[in-house]
Amino acid sequence: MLQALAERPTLTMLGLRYYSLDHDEASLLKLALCNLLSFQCLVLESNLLGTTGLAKLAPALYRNTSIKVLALPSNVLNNMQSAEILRDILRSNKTMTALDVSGSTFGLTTGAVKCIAVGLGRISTLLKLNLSKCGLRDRGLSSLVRTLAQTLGSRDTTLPKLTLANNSITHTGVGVLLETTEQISHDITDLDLGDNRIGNEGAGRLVKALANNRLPNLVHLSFSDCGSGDDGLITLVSALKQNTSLLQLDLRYNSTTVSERTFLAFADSLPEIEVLQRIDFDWGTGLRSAMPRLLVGLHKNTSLLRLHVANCAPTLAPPRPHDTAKCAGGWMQEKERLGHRNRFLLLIRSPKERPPPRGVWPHALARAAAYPGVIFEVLCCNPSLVPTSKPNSVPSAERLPERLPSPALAWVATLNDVIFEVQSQPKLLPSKDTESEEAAKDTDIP
Amino acid sequence: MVRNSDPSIMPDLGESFKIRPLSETEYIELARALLENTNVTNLQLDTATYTERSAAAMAEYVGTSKCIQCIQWNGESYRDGQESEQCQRMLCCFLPAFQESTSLKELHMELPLSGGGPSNLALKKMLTHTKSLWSLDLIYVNELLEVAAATAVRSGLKKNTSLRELTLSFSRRNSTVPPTLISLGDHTLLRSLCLHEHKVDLTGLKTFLESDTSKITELDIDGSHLLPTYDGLDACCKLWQNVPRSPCWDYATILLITTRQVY
Repeated sequence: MLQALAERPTLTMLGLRYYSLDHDEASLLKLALCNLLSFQCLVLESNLLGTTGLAKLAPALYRNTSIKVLALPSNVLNNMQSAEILRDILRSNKTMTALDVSGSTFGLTTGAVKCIAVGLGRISTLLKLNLSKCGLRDRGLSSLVRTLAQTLGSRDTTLPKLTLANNSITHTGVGVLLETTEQISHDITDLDLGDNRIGNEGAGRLVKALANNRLPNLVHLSFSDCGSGDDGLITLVSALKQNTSLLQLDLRYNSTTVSERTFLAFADSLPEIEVLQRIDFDWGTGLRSAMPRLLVGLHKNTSLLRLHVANCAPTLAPPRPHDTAKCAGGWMQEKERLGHRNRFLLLIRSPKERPPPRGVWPHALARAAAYPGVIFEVLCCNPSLVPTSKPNSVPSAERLPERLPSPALAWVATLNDVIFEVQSQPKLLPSKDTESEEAAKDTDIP
Repeated sequence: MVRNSDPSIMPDLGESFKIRPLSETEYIELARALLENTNVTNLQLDTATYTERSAAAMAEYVGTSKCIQCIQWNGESYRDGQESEQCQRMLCCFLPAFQESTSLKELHMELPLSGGGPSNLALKKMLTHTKSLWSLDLIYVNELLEVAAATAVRSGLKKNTSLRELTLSFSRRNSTVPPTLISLGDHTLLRSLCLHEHKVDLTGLKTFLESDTSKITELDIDGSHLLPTYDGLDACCKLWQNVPRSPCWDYATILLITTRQVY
């Protein structure tokens, strides 16, 4: 089969998982790769490849001029020889955009991290790097980022997406990472620090970078299961007020000792948070007691689209009393409603020259059909959407987006009533002078 | 709560909506409420405790809902061959509903071991006439799938005009699989074929790959346990080497061979 693959030049992706490639098969795969001119993605997961297997494949990867994704998770690439081969692949290749070498503990081998980092510094096309479970620890991480800093130097090289989960990294490693990253790459967009022992002190170092926007393009940060308590998380959520880039923040599984103080701090920050769109927490008693204030904060926030609370949803329906008790007070409904309101606002405020992708509007309308209050609020803060006189009929079909889902049609049928209701309460509508300013600010309805 | 699409009854992200065992009246009431619900898109059906009336109510919901997109038919209760009559009744009730649905895109179901009869015809009809089903995952829970059921699957798939993705999952070697694979060669829309789990018999794959009409672009072979038990792999390899550059192969851009070995 591997020989036959070589005869198929149209092949673009090959995955061999849990296959245990032997040496002959690795050689055959090399021959196949050499002949596949449009090949783009190679996934060899849990194949016990080892140094010998990688050495067999490497020549094909040196020469390949089309490959974009190389995923080699869990392949026992632990020693110095493997690191040298990886370095040479990275040095030679000119097309690779994503590399996954997770699950190989080369971080425990002296010199191996530095060796791979030299290779990473030589490839200018790499956009995504997964180094989860590589045994890096603080020492390996420091070696990695310092070597990268030296090799990258003034070269126009970026590394936007970096996964460093489960590497026993502490606050020391995070400090070095942030310090060096700020110097060498302002283009980092995704950073996954999950499942490390970073703690409150590490969170504090992260806060400085976030609050001062020293990572100005960072949009996704995973800080889940990082052993941080109230003190670390409070500073982290408070820093979101100053941050102008972060869209998603994952704070799940941090500590069972997280109390309502963290959630109250987040609630108080919400009115001033202008960019964050999604945050993930765990369900806990602290969250329950802080919920009233969180709702007040959510009401004043216009950016957050989803406040995800893990371990809260019922596993079976209808929910049991202990499930419904978690949602007592209707906070979940209100949270959803406000999320839909903000989605609408986001859509309405999107610049005319960059309209949302096709299909977004119908979907948003369909969701809003279940929340008429959302439409009311949106129309109130965007009076330009309301016709000057009472419309006599449902908007004509040609003005509607194509393929409206049926809930959206149901909503359109009630649109006249909603518009009439808004018009009948002129005091809720801002004056024309302040129209644009109001639309950009608050959405509070008395 | 269900009627009002209350978000607090919804499962966590990515999970299916599972219903706990209820009385007949409660099932019927729930089915009526689900008809007005707009949140539930992914539903798990555990039909072992349904009565005829509750099954009819739930089937009506499944057949007429405009929101339901994915259904998982949980055959766990029927695995040991017990209650096969109940299983047959439920299949005869729900398969026409799957067929009628205009929103259902994804279906995962365990095929019954025995009992046969009218459910096979319903299965064949469903596969033949469905217009919305895009992805189908058929799980063969034992080595002895009833021949009549396998024939129904084959016949239905041959006439199907909607499927783009098909997954066949096995727990044991199953002699009914090769003829099914052969019959897929004529499917003009199928892009992705996945063969999952243990000791996959690939002897039918050769004919399937030889077909000029096949539009397959993704082939995912995921066989647990030992690779040498793959029958027909050599034939497939040979085929790939010898097949001329026919138009159908221009589509074959992705080959995903996944073999799981148990350590």
